[in-house]
Amino acid sequence: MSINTEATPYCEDVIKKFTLAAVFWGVVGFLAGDFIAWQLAFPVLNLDLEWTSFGRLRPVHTSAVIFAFGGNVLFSTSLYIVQRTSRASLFGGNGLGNFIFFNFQALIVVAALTYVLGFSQGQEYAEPEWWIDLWLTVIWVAYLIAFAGTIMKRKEPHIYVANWFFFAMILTIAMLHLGNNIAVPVSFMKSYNVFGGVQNAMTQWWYGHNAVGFFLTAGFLGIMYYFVPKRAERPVYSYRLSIVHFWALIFLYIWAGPHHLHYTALPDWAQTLGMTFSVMLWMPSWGGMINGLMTLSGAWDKLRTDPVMRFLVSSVAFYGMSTFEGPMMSIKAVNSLSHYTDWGIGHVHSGALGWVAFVSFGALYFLVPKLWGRKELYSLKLVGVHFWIATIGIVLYITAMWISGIMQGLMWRAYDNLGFLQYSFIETVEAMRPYYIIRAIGGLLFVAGSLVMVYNIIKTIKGDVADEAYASAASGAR
Amino acid sequence: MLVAFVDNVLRPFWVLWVIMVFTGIVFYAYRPKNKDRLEEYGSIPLKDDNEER
Amino acid sequence: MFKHHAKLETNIFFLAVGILLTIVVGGLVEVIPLFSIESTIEKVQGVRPYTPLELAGRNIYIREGCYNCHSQMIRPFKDEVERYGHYSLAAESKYDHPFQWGSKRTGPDLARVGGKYTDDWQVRHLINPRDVVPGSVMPGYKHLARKLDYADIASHLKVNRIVGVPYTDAQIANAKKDLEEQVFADPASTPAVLVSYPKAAIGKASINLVGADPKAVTEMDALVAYLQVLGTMVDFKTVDEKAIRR
Repeated sequence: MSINTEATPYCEDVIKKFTLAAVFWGVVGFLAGDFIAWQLAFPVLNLDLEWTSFGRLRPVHTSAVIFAFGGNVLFSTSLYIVQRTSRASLFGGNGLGNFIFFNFQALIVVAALTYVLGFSQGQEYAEPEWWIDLWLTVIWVAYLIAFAGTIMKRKEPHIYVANWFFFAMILTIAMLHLGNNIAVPVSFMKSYNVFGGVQNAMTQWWYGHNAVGFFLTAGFLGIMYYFVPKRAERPVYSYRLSIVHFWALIFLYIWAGPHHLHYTALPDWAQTLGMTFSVMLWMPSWGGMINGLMTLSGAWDKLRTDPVMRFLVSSVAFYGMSTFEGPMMSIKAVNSLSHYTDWGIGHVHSGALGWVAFVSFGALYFLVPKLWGRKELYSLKLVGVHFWIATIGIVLYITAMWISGIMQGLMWRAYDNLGFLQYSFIETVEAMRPYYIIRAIGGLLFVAGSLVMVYNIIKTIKGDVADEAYASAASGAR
Repeated sequence: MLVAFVDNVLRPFWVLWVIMVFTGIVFYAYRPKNKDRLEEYGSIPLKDDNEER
Repeated sequence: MFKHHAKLETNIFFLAVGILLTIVVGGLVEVIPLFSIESTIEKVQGVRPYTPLELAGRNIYIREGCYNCHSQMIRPFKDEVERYGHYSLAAESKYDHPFQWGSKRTGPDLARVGGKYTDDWQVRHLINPRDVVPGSVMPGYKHLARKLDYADIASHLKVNRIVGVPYTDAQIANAKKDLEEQVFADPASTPAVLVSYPKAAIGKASINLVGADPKAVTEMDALVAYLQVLGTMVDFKTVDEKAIRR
């Protein structure tokens, strides 16, 4: 191999902005989530105001964490990775980058405001009204141009696999976003989706599930395939496995949507297809997990010595757990119990907090010192603190939701000796309360951990170094 | 002509075609001849020329 | 074959084509047939487009994000059918743009809530749920006492017709009149809106609500009219169970 002695002038100004935006929106999204979690335990927190009721704030939470936090993490990491692995500077430079950045941040603020003020398309994770959808389309096309353009001017002949995942994410999200949001406007703030009833249900969950599959999975697998090898300082366990992983994953994921519609008025053949592909999806998912974890083989001690590595590796372990739980829940018999309950919420959060957020934290902790030219973070010890607070928070969250979900599912179907339904609905709501409180405490811990990260990152950017012997810890594995 | 081809050949056996393509990808990826070349790609992130190593 | 994969790795256009082909298959196979297979939507009598008032109420339901906690889809299980009523048919939501089947039951399913409670109960419950259901965690919706803005209701019906809801020209032309009539007509009489939209709930729900203008249509009136029609359009006594079995 030939080593290029001339350094490539990477565009990193805009990456810095996306990184800071990701941290900011992360905290905002986690806070919004924890607030609405407390609302479910103490309804007085809805404040009897139209703008602060659960129904309007929940889309603020989901959009803030998925699109604002997750989106900025993806912009930041993908545009960083595509430059580095292509050995080329960003296509369109900081100009195009800034166009994406400022439009995207403005869109987030506008979308959140419209939810709070009561404008919504009424489809989960696709709430923004029609003109916000069009605006997002423009931003997304700019992103596609910046990303693909960088690949086209690369000096490295091979397109590194992380970029395949990002590229699949970009193309698929474009298709889903356009397909699910076709609507006819009545006015500036109201439109009607062209699909109705059962067809709308299918397009919505084709969109909704693949927002998980491509935005929150494929995109973040791209992050895994770069930052885990980078932090472990060794190539991915098996590059050949990553090729098979990629094609199998993107092929199977797109079919899985109907598992959100088991036993509904969606025709049985579609439900069966959805279930079959969801169960098969377990295989490429675990293939990817093995590839990520085994990258550490021979360097397992880094788990002990490097808390950033611990975030990255734990995220892959959580990914393995949720991608086992998911296929199981998509089996119709299991789904008949779990659907409509908190089990679904618990499942989503084991993936969202354990996988998406943890791999993001790992990537952010890696990126910040690199981008601001620091040798290491302000304090690796604080990364360890963040890790443990957040992990305890996740464990509280998902165990509370498992218990409340399974309990509620069982209470709904319980019969007494005389053959009557044993519980009224409100009795099942009241039984949830202790678990809602535990969940909210878990969420609070997760928020607290993210604030530790904010402090650590600010100190790192300022160039401070904590009074600890971290230099030896960071390099101890070598 | 094309419609007939899609209706009579592509659609009824689509599972077969998908499996064949997938098998092809697996075969390609795991062919011993390709091993060294493909695994070498794994080190692309580690060859970052902007970092002093 | 193998050479082709090498091209995928080094050419972004081939990679794009490969990805697009791969992701398009699943969607095509699952989505397209739903529009063409006739058995997707059962043939039952009674399902009609929403009255202008119900449609306005439905838009409030969407605005407040009710779907975040309430499903409108009863599954064919013994306990659900006993708790909520007959399992939901695809036909019953065929005019719903967007669908509101939901994905979570923090509160109960609402697919057949129509007629289960009086208008008065619904109003009191929406203002402060804990007044009538002590353990409820639902927010209160005091702001629904305000006037409904329905100046452009006819254009809502028009757009619904564009996306496939069979509103007639007369229904569109009479939208505003029908909306007001559904609130203010004498329930004992047979107003024109009932002829046009059978089973519509006639009457002013918020008549006893403090702060609501008794002479104007309130948001509460619209939302309650929507809730009261949910799941009541199909008369299951006249439905052949074999014909709707999926």
